[in-house]
Amino acid sequence: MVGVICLLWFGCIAARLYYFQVIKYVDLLGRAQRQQQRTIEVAPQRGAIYDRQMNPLAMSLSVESVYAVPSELTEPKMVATLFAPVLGLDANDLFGRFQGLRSFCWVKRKVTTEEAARVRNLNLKGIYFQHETKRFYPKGDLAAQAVGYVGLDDQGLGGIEYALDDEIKGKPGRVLLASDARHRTFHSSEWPGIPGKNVVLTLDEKIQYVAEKALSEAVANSHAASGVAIVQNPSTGEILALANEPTFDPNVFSASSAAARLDRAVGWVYEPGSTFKLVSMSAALEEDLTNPQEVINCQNGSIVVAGHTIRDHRPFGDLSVTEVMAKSSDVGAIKLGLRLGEDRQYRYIRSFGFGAKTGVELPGEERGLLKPPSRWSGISAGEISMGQEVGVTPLQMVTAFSAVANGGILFEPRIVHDIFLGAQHLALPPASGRRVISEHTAEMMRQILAAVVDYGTGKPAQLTGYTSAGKTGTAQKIDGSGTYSKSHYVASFIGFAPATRPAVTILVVIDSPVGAYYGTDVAAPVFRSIAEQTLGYLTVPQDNPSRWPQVVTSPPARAPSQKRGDFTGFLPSDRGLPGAATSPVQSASYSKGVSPGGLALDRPPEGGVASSIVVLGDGPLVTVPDFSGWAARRVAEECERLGLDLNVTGTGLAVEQNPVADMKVPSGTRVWVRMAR
Amino acid sequence: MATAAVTLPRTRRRPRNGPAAGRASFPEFNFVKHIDNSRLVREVDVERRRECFSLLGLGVLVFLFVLLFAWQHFQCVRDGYQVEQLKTERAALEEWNHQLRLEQASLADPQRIDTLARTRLGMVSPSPQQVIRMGEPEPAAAILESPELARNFSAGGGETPHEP
Repeated sequence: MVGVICLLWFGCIAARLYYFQVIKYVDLLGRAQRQQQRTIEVAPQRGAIYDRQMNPLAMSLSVESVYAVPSELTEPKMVATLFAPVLGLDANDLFGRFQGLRSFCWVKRKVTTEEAARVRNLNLKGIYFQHETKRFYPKGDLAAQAVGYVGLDDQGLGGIEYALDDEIKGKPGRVLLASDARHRTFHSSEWPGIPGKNVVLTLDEKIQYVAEKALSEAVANSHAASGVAIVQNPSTGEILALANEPTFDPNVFSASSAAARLDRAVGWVYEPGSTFKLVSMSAALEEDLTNPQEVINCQNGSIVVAGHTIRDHRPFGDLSVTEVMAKSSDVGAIKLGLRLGEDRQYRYIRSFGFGAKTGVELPGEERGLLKPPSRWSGISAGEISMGQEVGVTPLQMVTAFSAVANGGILFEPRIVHDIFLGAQHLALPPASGRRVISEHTAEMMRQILAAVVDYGTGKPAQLTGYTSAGKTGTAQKIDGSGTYSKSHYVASFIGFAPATRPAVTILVVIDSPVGAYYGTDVAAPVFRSIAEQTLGYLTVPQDNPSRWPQVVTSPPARAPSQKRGDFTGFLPSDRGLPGAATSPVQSASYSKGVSPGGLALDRPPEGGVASSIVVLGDGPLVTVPDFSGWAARRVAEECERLGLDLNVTGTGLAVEQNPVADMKVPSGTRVWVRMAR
Repeated sequence: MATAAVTLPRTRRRPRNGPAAGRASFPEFNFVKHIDNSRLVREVDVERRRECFSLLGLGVLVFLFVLLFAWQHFQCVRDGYQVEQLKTERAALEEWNHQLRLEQASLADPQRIDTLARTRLGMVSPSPQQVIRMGEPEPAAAILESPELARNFSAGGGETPHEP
């Protein structure tokens, strides 16, 4: 009897087992997996954006987002009330969302670590966390328009973030998680996504900062509406800095205006004014229609073209072509433009890249405004030759000037230096360019533009220690009535330095300055500030002794061990810090006259150094060696041995010195040596 | 085999089911039979013993196998937890690394450094004549690729006739 019962019992169990394990197997397995396993999508790590020195400008971090499953919330009203102060949300709005949705509801996305911790401490049922990535811009507003910004779903919305979104964003992966009843994961399987590629820009954050700071100060001082500054390497077309004002912080881009987010370098079209004379004059020189020495009658500053009278900003008589540029005579430029003729002028304008996109990797680039000759009026040829009736972008202008600076090749401007993922680098096309004017014409134009800075309207752009060349521009803006405004101008200066072997081309455009509005007064000083700091940062050898400062040593002569102080003389002396005793500038300021017991010497004229004074102190006389052909190290060692103070400029081998060789000078005298490069 | 009869001692009290008083009582005899099997020798069944041991061994083996399987399973689960914990730890460390790099980048912001240098250290921007460089140019000069490029361009690729 017992055996039968046991048999029946075992039979029931076996039958039930068969039912669960065989008949209902698939269904139950599915239900178990649904409860234990969940697949989550892993957002791809967005690639970082670096400057050319590999300083990160944009990078992504993993953050948490809070979501709710409203059906699991026991008391949605209470949860909403609890979350509102913790996450800075509106309780009613949150409660409304809980009511409207059933299975999934974002509470707040991309919360801070502190907010996540506070939510976790509440330990509420039906509240979960999801990992997402958030974009951070560690340098804040530095190069904001160029770098761009991303939306809540990490999609690029501006700048390089938008232009290269497909490369940067990557592809999402998936993770299958197996969890126990306590939601502890005990197994996971990953299908990794493809992380986004990293982008290296041609920008240099130091130069960018210098440009932004100088531009910001200029815009603030002139109460201008906006401004843009671009620093470009004329030999490659690479953009080293691209500054906009006003600007914005891409970390909180939604708090900024559309005007602040606009990249004026490529997305703003303006009438260039006199800076555009570069094109007409280059064309006239290239076509042998004139030469820099030709004298043009500027008709006392007035010319009539197609019944319209155009006047210079002040009356000029006879001016050479160089002077036409230096003094920015519109009449002279118009005469050259008329010599060119409409078709030829139009072809040169197009050849310099105007009326077409430059091809830079930035979004929102404008073509500019350039009508074909068939739509030109009788006055157009004259107007365009002086920079009116034509619309350009700042990037087009700086690229055109770079073509003159580098010897006549118009390079395509570039802002992307490299795209890489791990060790794999994307093959980017090399710098491409086309010749627009001959080297000879470019050389003539460089000299003409240098004259602008030397004695023309660009004097405020003169640099300390470097030659420079460029052109000022002051263009009237068109007001609402469609006529040229009498109160709103665009002031600009575009130039390059050093003038002999340009290392950088710099554009500065200030929109609607208040008060002083000439490019000479508003933009040229900004060029100077940016150029001096940039050239120093790039260790470009100084090439302009005529603008070197007075190099003076003050008596009494210092011991050799103290001379290093000059090399660290960036600190003001009143700080009383060791090693910062006297900077050369400070020496010059208080030793300009003949000091007690000192001896004043003029620099030799052959060195091209005029009106500089070297004050020598007392001490034993030593003979200055002939440093010609010596390396800097050897010069330094010899000066150290003789007790001479040394001021070296440039790199390479010594080519010039002061005092001259074999001169007997007191010990401690500062010796100036210029190296070849 | 031996049988012995023994007389049990008379009891003082009448047993509960014993004969009532006045009735005759008979002595009870209990026989004890001593069986001595010491001379018997059990015949060893080798075959059965082998089967028994085999069965026992198999059972132990199965038991050990099941034990091993169970241990392996639970160890696997335990390792799974540990692996997940380590994965989480690694992810957290990587994230920390990213955060530190972000912080480093923020601290190296030129604007921040400039402000600190000017306000806290009282530094000023050096004028060009204050910057004296010795020896070879620093790596920053690498930014400036050869300014000869334009000339090389025309020399190497042939000077293209200008388009205008």
